[in-house]
Amino acid sequence: MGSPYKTVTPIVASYRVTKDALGVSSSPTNRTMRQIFSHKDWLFCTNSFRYDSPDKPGLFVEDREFSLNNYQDIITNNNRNNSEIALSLSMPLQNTLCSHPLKPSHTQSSAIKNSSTQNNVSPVRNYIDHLLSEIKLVSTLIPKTRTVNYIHWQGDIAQLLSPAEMTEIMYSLNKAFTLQSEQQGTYVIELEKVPADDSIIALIKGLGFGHICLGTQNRNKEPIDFKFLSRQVSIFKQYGFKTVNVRFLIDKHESCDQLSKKLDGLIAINPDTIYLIDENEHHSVLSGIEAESNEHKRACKCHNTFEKKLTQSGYQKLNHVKFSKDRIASKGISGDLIGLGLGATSLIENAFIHNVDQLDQYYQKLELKQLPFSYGGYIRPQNPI
Amino acid sequence: MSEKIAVADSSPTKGLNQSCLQCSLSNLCIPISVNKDEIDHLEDIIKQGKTISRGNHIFKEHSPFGSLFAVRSGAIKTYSVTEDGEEQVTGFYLPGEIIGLDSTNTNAYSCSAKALERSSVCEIPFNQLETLASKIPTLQHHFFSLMSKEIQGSRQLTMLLSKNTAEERIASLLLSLSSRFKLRKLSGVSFRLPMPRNDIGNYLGLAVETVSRVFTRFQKSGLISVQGREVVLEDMDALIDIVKNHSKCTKD
Repeated sequence: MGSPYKTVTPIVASYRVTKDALGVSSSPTNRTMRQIFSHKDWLFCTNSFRYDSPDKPGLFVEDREFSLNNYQDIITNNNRNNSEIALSLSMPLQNTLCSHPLKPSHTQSSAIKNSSTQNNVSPVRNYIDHLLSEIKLVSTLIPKTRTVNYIHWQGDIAQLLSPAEMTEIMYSLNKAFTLQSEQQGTYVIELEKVPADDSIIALIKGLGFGHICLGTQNRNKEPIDFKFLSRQVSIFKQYGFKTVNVRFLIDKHESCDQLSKKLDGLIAINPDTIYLIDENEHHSVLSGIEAESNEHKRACKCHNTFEKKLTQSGYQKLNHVKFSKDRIASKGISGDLIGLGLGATSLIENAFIHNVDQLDQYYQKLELKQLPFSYGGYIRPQNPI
Repeated sequence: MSEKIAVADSSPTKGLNQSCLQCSLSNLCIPISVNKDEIDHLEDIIKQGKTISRGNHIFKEHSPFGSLFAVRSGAIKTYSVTEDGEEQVTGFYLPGEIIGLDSTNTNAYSCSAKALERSSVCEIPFNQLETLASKIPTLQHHFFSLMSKEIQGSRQLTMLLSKNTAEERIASLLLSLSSRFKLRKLSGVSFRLPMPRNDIGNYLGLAVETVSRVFTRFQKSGLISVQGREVVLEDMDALIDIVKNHSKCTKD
């Protein structure tokens, strides 16, 4: 099996050329679509498309002529097949929000804006107001007959938002779109830190989330508190979450042995899925560029060791990073993905669309009642014409 | 028994049409930081002081959703009817609490609400509340805060029922009532149970005989004293320990 990190010469394709190459009515190949689904899965538990990532994946070819109108057209064209939709919400880091100058919320009526109590809008509230505007704008493009079967809250929304704010966002999503029931849909929330308060877990479950994606707090050399993690995983399962999944970060500062022991601890907790994330993978699978450094080769060797450990512990390898106990319970997105929020990515058919990464641009576009579109392009076909 | 729906009685009862600011429950019902002008806007949409006799409904399950109801006096139980036609109690609402939050995202009420005793409610038409809340951020925040507490409480109850013993369930209910009475600046130690024991049993998934046995056991252990529906929590710490000890075992 060859290295996944084949060198690729980036191709800049014009919209017209790509359209001619792929054909207006032709669909991407099955193999390309499998790639897309795999990328969607990677997207989530690795945050590869977070706003602060400078890397554009090389298998995705940016089209300089891809415009906001193209984005809107692609969504509305796909409405014809009435397929299900996935939504992902992204939240910037607290530092980013707090460093942005506060402005009165433009969603308030002018009578209210003048009130002194209304002028003190917190950075988080400001972001939520704009996110809700984006949700409304996107919902105008999607008919109610298209149901949402997958929702993913990225980052650490649960830590940044109050219970009322989390409830408000879910309420707004419910109003804007037709969400499938808790039993039918797949609703995932990422938690960087496990909540110590059970009432937050109760709320998350009550809002409809059935799947948890936990960070394991091993971004540095500090030991993981496995006892606490195990207890909280147990509580999640008592609350009836369908799956509890963990992200295991492979840090270059730690040896394979040290990481291996941590992985043993995680396996013992018995999460439903373990994602192996190499944080220092500057050239990800998605970029398709092979890194020649020894460091990267070492990382690959560790990864192979971990892979073997996981498969021997009963985890099935679903892709390069995802190892699950139950393939069906851990299934990913099946339809179009629409990303909402700062730096969010959408994947519709074989097109990808990226929201703006800068907060002031995000706010500006929404205040002009425009989607916060930045750039778009296409999945590079395996056999380009 | 007559099953009049209280909303048919549209005219407010005389003498009860006091402003929200004057209402003793205002600190529970409306957010503290809402100013007088904003309360005026709120009062414009609220239909105050609808009286419901014991056993009558405020709304029935599957009827079109239109309003939330804030309890002003008395006590309300909510219930849904199972496929077998059995009544399943889903909640108890005391003065200052809001009924109907679980139906806001649907077109119909997800349960029925019936008065446990002569009660009065304020009707809050939901569409108007939503419009107003979009203009008054503190009101909007308060609304979603209430909704989040309702959601949390509902899930925590599901957890409670799935795992805990009869003692733990009843102790949890007594402590919950205690804290809710305290919020109204009433005694959290000595209070009257607003619901009969069979409704307690139904709500907690226990037979009424079990409820009675546990009450007797608690009384003999000195945790509570009971006379009819009047309850005194003699040893609050011990009741808290009953609930906490189970949580420890669950986590281990």
